[in-house]
Amino acid sequence: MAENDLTLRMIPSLDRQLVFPLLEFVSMKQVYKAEDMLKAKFELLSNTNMVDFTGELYMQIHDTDSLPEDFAKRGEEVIKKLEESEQKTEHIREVIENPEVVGSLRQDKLQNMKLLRENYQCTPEMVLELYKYGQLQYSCGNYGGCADMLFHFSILSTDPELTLSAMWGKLASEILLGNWEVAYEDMFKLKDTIDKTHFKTPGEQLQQRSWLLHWSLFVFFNHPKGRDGIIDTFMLPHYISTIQNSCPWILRYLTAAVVTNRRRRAMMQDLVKIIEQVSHTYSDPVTEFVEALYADFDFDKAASKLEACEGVLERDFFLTGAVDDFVENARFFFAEVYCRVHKRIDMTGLAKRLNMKQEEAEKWIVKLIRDTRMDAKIDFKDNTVVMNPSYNPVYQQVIERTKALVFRSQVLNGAMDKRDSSAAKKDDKKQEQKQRGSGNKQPQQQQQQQQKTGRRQQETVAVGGGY
Amino acid sequence: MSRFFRNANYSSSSDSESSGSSSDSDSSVNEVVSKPTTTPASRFSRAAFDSDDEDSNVKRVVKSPKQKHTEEVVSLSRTIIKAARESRWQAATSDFDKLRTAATKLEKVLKGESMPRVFIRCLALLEESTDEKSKGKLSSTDARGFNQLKQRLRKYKDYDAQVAEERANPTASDDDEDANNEDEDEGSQADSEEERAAPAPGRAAASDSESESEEESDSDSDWGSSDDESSDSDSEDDAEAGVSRWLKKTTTKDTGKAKKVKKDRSQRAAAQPSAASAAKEEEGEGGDDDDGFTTVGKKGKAAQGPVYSAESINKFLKTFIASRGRKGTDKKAAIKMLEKLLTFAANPLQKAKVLMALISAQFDDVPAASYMATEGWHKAQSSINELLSVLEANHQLTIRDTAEVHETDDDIKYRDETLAIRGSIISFVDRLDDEFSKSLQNIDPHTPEYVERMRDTVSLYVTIVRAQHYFERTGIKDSICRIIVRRIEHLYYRTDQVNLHVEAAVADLPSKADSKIVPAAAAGDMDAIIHSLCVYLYINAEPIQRTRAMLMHIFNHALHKRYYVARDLMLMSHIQDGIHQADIDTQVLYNRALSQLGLAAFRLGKIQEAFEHTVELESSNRHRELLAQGVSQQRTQQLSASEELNQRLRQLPFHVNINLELLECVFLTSSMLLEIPYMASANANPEARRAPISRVFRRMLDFNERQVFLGPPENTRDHIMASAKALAEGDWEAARDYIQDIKIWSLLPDCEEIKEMLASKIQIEALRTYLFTYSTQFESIGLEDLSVMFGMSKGKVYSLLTRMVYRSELQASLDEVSGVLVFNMANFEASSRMQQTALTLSNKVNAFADINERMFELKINGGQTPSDRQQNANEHGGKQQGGDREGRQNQQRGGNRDGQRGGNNSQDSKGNKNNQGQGQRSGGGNRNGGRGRGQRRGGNRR
Repeated sequence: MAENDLTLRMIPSLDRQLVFPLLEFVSMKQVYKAEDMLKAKFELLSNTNMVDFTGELYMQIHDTDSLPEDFAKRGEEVIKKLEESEQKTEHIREVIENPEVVGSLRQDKLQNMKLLRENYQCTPEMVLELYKYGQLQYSCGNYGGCADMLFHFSILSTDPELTLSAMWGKLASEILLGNWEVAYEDMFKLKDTIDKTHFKTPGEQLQQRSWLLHWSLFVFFNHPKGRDGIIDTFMLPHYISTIQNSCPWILRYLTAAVVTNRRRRAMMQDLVKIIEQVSHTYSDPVTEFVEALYADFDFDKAASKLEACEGVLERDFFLTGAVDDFVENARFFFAEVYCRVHKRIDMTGLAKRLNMKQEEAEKWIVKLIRDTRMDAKIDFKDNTVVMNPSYNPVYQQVIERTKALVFRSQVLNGAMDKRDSSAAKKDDKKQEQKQRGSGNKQPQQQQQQQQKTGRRQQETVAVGGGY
Repeated sequence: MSRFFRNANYSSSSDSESSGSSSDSDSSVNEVVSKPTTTPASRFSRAAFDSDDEDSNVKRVVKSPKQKHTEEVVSLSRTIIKAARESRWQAATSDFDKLRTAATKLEKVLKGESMPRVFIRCLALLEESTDEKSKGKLSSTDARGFNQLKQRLRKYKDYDAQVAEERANPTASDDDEDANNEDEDEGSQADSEEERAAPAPGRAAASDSESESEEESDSDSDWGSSDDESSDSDSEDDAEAGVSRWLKKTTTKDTGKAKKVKKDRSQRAAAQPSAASAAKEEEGEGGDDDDGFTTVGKKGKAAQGPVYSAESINKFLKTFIASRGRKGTDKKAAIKMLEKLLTFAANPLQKAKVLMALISAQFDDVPAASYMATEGWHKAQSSINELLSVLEANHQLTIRDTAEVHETDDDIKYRDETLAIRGSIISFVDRLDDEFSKSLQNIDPHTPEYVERMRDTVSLYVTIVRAQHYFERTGIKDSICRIIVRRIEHLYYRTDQVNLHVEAAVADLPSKADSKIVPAAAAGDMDAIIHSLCVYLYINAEPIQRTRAMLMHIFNHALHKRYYVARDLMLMSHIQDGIHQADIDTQVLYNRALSQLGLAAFRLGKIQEAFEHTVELESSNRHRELLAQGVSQQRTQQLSASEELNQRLRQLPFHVNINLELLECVFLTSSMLLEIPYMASANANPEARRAPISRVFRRMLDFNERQVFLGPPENTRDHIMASAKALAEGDWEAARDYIQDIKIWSLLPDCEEIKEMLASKIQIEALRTYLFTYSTQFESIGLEDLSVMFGMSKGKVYSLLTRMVYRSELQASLDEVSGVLVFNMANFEASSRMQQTALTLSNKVNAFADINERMFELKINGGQTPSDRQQNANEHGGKQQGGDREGRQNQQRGGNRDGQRGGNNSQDSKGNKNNQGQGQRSGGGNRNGGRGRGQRRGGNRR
């Protein structure tokens, strides 16, 4: 049962409290012994400040009604600390929540700090207190409050390291709250920060990225746009190498995402390459299915792996909701490959391979043919599917090759014209700028830059379209 | 001047000669003349010569003109030689003028007889010294003289032939300074003898014949008579024989007239300007004579010999250190002295100090151009071991190079205080290791001597490990890293089995407890040991050491068939990005690791990878040089002497070498498996006629096909070529047999497995080749038949065909029901000529549009399109992949030009396919770029 379970592998890269839902799920699916699970949960939470909940667990484990004294003591302490922090941050919270202040805040953090200090007597220490308060709240399980505090903190703080960890905290809170929209945005912000920050060692960055990969799973599999997002994000070269280097098991989710997302079929080629690369360090039925189908072209193996996939996915916290989707799409991919290489297919065999009944398979194939507009017919007499392989006649090839030429010449012509006119315009603008002086130089430059990049994009599009 | 005294005089000069010669041979051969030894000698001989000259002037009698001229020429020649040796060019020039006139006179008299040997030698010497000698150190007058002499010499061509002969002739002018010096001395002695002998009537004939003997070199005739009375009549060309005989005689005389000799010596010594060097010589003599210190010593340091004691050790050490490195110091004597001192060392501190001095002295006693003799090496090693034992036994004592210089004279009072001595053990061990590998470089690897020498690796390894333990205990971090690199260097190229034996020797070292780098649990597991050593370096060492450790780790992983681990390490570490900036040794190591990686991939049956790892190395014909396993024969550019020497020093000892033939065999076999189907597929589709995958292989195949007569295959290459041809015809069984016949597979540890693997690969590729070649001739083909034909299971054939169809390598599809492969008729061959032309035309038009766009881009963006820039980035990444640095420039240029088109070409992306993942992993798309470039380069030339 436990052999394809990734919980243990994922725990090191997750936050304590994020692990909790995973454990809940796993104990629900009864992968591990119930006793062990309880203990694990207790261990997990005993370092947090969720005293009441931990106490309950304690009672469950030890089968008693009475709690040791230190639980009560700790509870009091936590409450005391909370109150303290609340008092300390009272002032700054008031200031920040003042709409006037919010309106006057700018991009520049140093300037903001100066503003706050001069007008509202807020010191950096107070800002730091916000962070601590947020942390405390998180630890107590008050995620909403925590998210607020850390949001404010990350706006005000000038310390990049603490800001980063505040962002992590915020993401965790949003995930635990189930605010997927906000979490989705936060996650991308965090990703940008990680990509842009210059870490001391490459190892640190790698670690940050592998955390992000794990945490983002919560978001991607719960957000409506997540299926696209996961492919886009994970397929970035940086993240691919992170997966390959530190956490190959993430491939399962990537694979599942690619398989269930039929519109992103083109990604399959890349995915197969990655899976082949990593197959010596990690494989599970999901990746093996893809490998068997696209690398080895071993249909029997692929079919058996597909069966195994169902079991694995059902017991996976993130993928459990996508089982049917996955199987359906996997069959589709299977059939696609199968039809592409065959001229005539025996329906009985195909049905068996797809793990379907004969009639069901027939229906399914008809649907497939209709959906994908394949050039195929079912021969009822022989009980076969006959494919008409579409090949390119030479005429077609010539037409295709020359099709783009007109467009390309037009683009070229247009570019030439534009170049003349833009050169003239540029000169004008320069003069204008000189006249205006250096007062508000910045926004203008930005504007110009935007124009420039815009132009270049256009060009690349044009050139790209040519091919 | 009594004959007695004269004899003594000889002997003294001969003594100084012999001692000079002994020390001379010790000092570097490279030094032209080591001054302190030769100066006294020449001064002596000159003194003797001059005084004798005066003598003869007084008593001069009439001589024949021939004799007179000969003498004049001879004496002038000698003066010039001496002057030249001492760089007194002014004098040499003026003498040279005289010599020329004298020589012309003599020539007339001689009437065709050959000129005196000395004269010729003099010319030769002058020519030589004017050729080489730098005038940097000369005074202005001498420099002028030197230039004049050079010009005059250039014009003076009369004896060119003889001079050339003389210079070429190794026996006569061996350039061995000692021999020359002795010759000279004897010459001058002989001269004086002659002149002294001349007046005596009975001797006249004899002396005449002697002088003739100088010219005609047949002095042996009257050796007997002249021998007894005077040690003269010594023909120049018989120099060596003369020397030996003469030496023997002096020794006998020595014993007879010991007193005289000693007196003379003392006089001479007193006359010496530097008493110290005299003492040294004296000591050297003592050492040579094996009388020890006490007997010889009358003065100098040796005189204090008996006073050796624990108290005076410091004093001796100081004098040793002061004289160390000076010219003319007798190193052997110093070693002797220190060894003696060691026995007097009273406490660990003294012992350590003496040992350190002794080790330095032992290493000093190595000729620079050659290697340390085995015996000396052993002694040095045991000294180091002893030093380590002293340190191990006395933990309060440490040696570090950062310590204060310990400058007290009361070492004797040392009572186990904590103390740091200044010194560097790591440099001793480094030196020991270097000398060891140097000796292995120099010994012929096919002799028992080499094997004998190899046995010392174990003890050397033990020493290294002991040193490591010491450094760990004392926490000298820098040294720990260095010593660990050394240690890994001894381990990485061997298999675990061998290493375990070596490691067993280390297992019961007493100092083991000091080491924490290698956990005790790792004992017996070589992989773990190497891993922990390397990891220590990854964390603690300097970048260059880290790189080396990484490469050796990769090598070791690859050697043990852990290909994936090795590859991942290679790619993750981004070594290839900076390897071309590393020093050459590291680059060589990189090349070695790369080729070992290729071998590992091959052993796992990863043909594509094996090919890619080896192709760059094998394509250059300098792979010997790149692996530091010899020098390539055909070299276009000449290397200077120092470069060549460096290259020789860089060579790896034989037992470390990667078998080049095996490497080539792996490369060619991989090439064959990739290239043959590729060629077949290109034949079917003229459009796909692309650059070859392996140019080297293609060239060999072409060459092989052009042969008029082909015998049965003999060497590895022949076998592969024969196999390739069989494979191209679809005769997979023959191809398999040829490949399996290759003997060299037995060098791979799992050779049977590899043969199996190759057989199955050949089956697959043969099937593919068959299908590519004959696809146009078939409408359909049965799976059953194919599986029988190529001896493969039906399932395998099926999946193979599926892959080919899916990847559009074949224009065909499978019919599941009837079990056949149906070819589509729409492929290129079937179309009409008109259609083909239309296709070509459309291609041309496309190319035209491309060019237009590029022209425009050139105008606008200064020649760089966005895709161009990307291309360059790629190119840059790929460029750094190989260790081969020279070819790279060209490659890049080629790749760059053609890159614009190639980048968008789908054919190219196919070539990259297998590597893209790897490239991404390594960050900059390195490997990817490397491969792609290779193909594009090919396209360019076409």
